Amino acid sequence: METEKQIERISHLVVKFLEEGLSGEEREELEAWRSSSAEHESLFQKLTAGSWDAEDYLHYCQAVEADGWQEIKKRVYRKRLLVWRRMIACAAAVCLIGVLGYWMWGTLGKQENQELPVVQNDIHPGTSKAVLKFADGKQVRLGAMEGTDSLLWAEYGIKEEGAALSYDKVKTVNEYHTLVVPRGGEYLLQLEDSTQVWVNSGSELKFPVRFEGGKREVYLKEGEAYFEVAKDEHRPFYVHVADMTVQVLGTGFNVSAYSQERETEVTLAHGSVRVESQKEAVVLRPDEQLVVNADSFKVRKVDAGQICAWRKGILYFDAMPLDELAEKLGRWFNCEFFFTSEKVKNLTFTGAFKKYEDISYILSILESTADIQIQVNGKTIIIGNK
Amino acid sequence: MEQGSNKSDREKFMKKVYDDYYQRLCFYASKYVEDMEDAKDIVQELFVRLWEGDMTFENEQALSSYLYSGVFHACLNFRTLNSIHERHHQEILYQQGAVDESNYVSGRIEHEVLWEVFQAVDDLPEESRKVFKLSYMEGHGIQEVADLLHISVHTVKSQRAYAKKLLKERLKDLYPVVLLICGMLH
Repeated sequence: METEKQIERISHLVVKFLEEGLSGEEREELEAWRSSSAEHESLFQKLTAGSWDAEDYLHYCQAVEADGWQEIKKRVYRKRLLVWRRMIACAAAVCLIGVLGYWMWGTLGKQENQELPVVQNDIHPGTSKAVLKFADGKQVRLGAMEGTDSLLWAEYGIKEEGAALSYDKVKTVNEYHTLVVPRGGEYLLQLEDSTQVWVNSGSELKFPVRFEGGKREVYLKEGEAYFEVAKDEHRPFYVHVADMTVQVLGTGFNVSAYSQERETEVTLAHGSVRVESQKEAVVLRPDEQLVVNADSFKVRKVDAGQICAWRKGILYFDAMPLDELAEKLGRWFNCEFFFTSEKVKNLTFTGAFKKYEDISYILSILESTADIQIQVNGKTIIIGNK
Repeated sequence: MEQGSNKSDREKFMKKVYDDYYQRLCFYASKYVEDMEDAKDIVQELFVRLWEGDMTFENEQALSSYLYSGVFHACLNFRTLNSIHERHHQEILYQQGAVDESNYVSGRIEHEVLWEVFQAVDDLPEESRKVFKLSYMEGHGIQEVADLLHISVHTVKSQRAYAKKLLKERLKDLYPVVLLICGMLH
């Protein structure tokens, strides 16, 4: 570590100079460094001028008051909990996107002279929660708060661990169940074949307790879900969504079909899928996305990692109009957005946010990057012109 | 240094690194990102990465180099990202001076020296410290300091001399610790 040694040595010599304690040899060494470049000499002059920046000293005083140990531990534990929740033991392939560390910093920075929209304790990031409905209409609440229900285990062989539900192969009854994830919720479901499905806020997924008849079929009746389908050549996997069917062999892909949004999207992360509607069909390759709306059926190239990142706690937006962005945030944070100006709805934003953070971070960045004003009133957020 | 193979050893190791470096790194980062809260965020994230990562360090210098350059790069990215957010505005608010890789060494040397000096300043008795701050940080002349603190010019002069003397002594006191560490690494 040559640079590190040099840094320590020179700063040591400079301090000794300040305290007037340099030996002859040390003085020579320091002179040599000073004369080796104009930059060194001017740094030396700056440090020995005998006056110091009040702002630097202020930062020093703030720094020696800094106590971040608890916060660091909290972040480490939260990170581990996130990873554990998402990786329940199963045979499916899980692809890890590299740590997004630095990219996140931009979204955490607060702008100076900007007042954070005041968020009381009314708006919170979503949590793991859902409702499971049985064929006979009975339903049970799921989620990190609820805990394992022995009824589920006994009758169906379903286990709820932490914040995920897994269907074991051991059971006799076969019927359709529906997982309903409300706004402000998300849930991880593991099907009988070990396929994992992350279900996003405001979604409904219908699926059988056991796959029979040589194929596997589920129905995304509403919302968004990311599937990591377990390989099984003998039983192709089908997702019925909107008016289409997505056929899968063993792969990871995201489907988004919210009725409030204008279009349905199927994004492929890895593997291969065939999507078929009444009129057309297409085979997707990794990082391709099919967008279907009333008039069109188009494939485009995307960064699948970004689009699927919601299940890992990050929301990405790429030139997304504000009204669409508000819709997505509203679903996750379970709050309502209202616009007092039509123009503002069409402003586009690009960025990424950690979705488990307070919404005030996101709102303050939106406010500081565009000419808009944001007001928070209980669970309602009002956006208008500045 | 025992860097920890199991969870509790890892935590002990991290606590030691925290105790030795956290506040210095916050001070270091605040030079580049200005807001102390942002600086703390950056340093905390680095600690999280270090905690969860699989790295081992040959010696103290390798650790120190990792930490400081990690914070430096995070600060550079932070500054870049903040200018990107400002692209949406019509005016460009990004006015901070150019900071790039070539500044790293001089920034570090300055940081190390300032840290030592400010530690010594902090240890001055209250009167001397006040005089020192006003004279050598806020740039007030002797008469001004006398007026501000309601003391005589004579007192200001002798407090300044006393502060400087104490500062030198205090700096001397700090150094044996540093020398010892340098000794171990050679």
